[in-house]
Amino acid sequence: MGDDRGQSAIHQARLHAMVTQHQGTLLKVCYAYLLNAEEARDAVQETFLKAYLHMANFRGDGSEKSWLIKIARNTCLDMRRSAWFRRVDKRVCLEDLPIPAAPAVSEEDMTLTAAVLNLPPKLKDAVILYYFQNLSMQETAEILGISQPSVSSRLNRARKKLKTQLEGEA
Amino acid sequence: MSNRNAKNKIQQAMNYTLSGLSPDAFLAERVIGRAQTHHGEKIMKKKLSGSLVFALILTIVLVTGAFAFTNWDKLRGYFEAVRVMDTEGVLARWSDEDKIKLLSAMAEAGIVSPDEERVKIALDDARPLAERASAANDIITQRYGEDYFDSHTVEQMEFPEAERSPEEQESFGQWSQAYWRQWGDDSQQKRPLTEGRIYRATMNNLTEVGEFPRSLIRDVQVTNAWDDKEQVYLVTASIKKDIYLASKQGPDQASLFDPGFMGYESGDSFCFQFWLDKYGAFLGIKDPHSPEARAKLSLEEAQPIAEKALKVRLNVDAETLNNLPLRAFFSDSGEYISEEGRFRAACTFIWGPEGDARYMVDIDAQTGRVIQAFDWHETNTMMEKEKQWMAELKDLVREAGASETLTNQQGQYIWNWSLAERAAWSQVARPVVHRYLADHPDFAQYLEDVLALRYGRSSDWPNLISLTQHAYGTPDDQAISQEKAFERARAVALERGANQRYVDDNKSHTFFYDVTDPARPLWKVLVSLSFGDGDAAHPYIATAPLGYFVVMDAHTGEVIRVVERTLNTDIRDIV
Repeated sequence: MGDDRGQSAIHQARLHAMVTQHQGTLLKVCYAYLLNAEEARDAVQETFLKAYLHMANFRGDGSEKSWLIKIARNTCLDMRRSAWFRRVDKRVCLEDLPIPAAPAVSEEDMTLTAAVLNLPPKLKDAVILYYFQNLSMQETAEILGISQPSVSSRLNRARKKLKTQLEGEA
Repeated sequence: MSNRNAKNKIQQAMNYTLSGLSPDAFLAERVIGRAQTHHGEKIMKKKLSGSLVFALILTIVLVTGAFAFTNWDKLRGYFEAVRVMDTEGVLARWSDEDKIKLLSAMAEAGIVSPDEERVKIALDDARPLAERASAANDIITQRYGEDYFDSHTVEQMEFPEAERSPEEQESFGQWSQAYWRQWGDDSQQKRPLTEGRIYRATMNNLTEVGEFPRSLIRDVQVTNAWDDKEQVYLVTASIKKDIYLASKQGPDQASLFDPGFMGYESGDSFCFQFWLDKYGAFLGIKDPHSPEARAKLSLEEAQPIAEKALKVRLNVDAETLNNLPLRAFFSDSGEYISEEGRFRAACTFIWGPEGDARYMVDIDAQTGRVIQAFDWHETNTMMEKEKQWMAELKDLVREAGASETLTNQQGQYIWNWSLAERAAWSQVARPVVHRYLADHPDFAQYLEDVLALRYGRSSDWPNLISLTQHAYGTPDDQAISQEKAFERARAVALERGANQRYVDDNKSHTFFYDVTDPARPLWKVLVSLSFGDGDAAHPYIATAPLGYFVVMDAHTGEVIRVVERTLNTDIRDIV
């Protein structure tokens, strides 16, 4: 029992550190998948709960950030599979984006963000992990369960699509 | 948008735009609270009496007939059957018998109703195999999709992780681990390699890279061989050429099977290869065109040649080299092979610590020829000197009244100038450059050494030097017209195989009128075949020249010299 309590205290301390360090990142990642701020918060809470309950499983052979992002992504995908989610039109317009805290966000940035969020799911997946979250090609490939050339191919396609989309709107 | 550019832009845009998502200050406490509730629930369940549990279960069973479908014990039997099928490769090969076998397992687990008409057909032994398999296929693909599937997909679809109770999850985890433990490994992450995993890795790569028609997925054959030395599996995927080619919608549709990409031809099939580790984790695709794959020499064989090159050319002895760390690898050299559309494969040797390399040698990986061997420190020193020489020279050219940047007042680079403009520039700049080279023989020698690949820099001279080799002027009365000169150059290019559409659509052909020998002026026409990167109508063809440089007698039109411009052609040879 003593060991359990000791272990639990260690896990709680680690959870606090993880939340402090990664909550902001995970919120953005979950928002990118779910396109709804409230659901993103729920998903982040769910992510940390899963991470906390399975903390002993984190073997440290990858970065903590990529481990959490992997859990967050799976959580979001599970939420997206729900019948309710499938019925809702999830395309994003500029005015749907959360009001930025950073002052003077340019319209160009907002347009690019909306374009990324409206990418087809597979392309968006790769863009979020590799470009937005700065994960390595290998980490991205591992999380998506595909090869590095496949990630590269998705990123190429995403770049082309973004370019077409943004030029089309200019 | 380049890769790096995209990364920066997307990070900035999304971080700014999504900065308004407010974090929860008490998130950690909430999570801990929820985690404790999970444990609390477990304790409560233990306190329930056996009879009450039985009564509750009975009530649930009576209230909902659906209970059987979420019953983990029932699913366990089905999952066991599917895992064995996955492990044995049944799901990969997917024969008619396999489909019926799977459907039978589905019916047994209550996933499909045995009363359904198509299930009855599929399970009716008296009917023809094809009819039964077709019915089974309909049901299976309706439930699991048309592409392919594996035990993991089935488990997630029939028993989603999100919907499992903690007890079910625990029981599932124990069952799953016990299943894989047969191979002596406890970890779920590192499951042993099965035919199903090999097949899945093949399909992942095929359907993600390029455009591979999903309808052909089951026409792909997969074999594997264990490499004991590297401790990896080399997997070979192949498809019959006629089947693959018949499915192609156009030349732009490419997949890993295409020889121009990662594929190669073997008999009547197209193939590609990739590596998996002993647990089936994907390690990478084997590029049949990589420098390593094209090499005929091993690095061990090439190393003595490299050492000898340094000894002969730079007098570097073996002891010096032995005292430096060595990195050896296969690489693409700077030599472009037009016919192959790729750079020559090289064995590259770099002596010296990382970040402070001292000697570098490139050996042709097929013939053992020394491509280049140089001292990096000396190169750096000389490149610094080159900067100083060129800065001085540019000052002199500017002071003499000619553009030292080779750009006119309209911002056009010298290729786009009129003949008269270029002639005027040449008259002023050329004598200045020649005088400077005469006054600085060490600079002139350095330029010669660059051509001999003595240094580790590109063999291109600075454009200012290249463009002052010859004197430029304007056509005299006896010269054929520029139009006539182009006509001849165009004919030469077409004779040599240039694509007519590329020639005629191009707007960047360049003309020089060379009066270095006033008695025999020359028309020099660069027939350009290159277009910008984004020009979809004129895509880059790796095996085609970038253009043809045609030199002719300006008076008679006689063609004197033709240079095929490739990535290896120096500017000094086409001006």
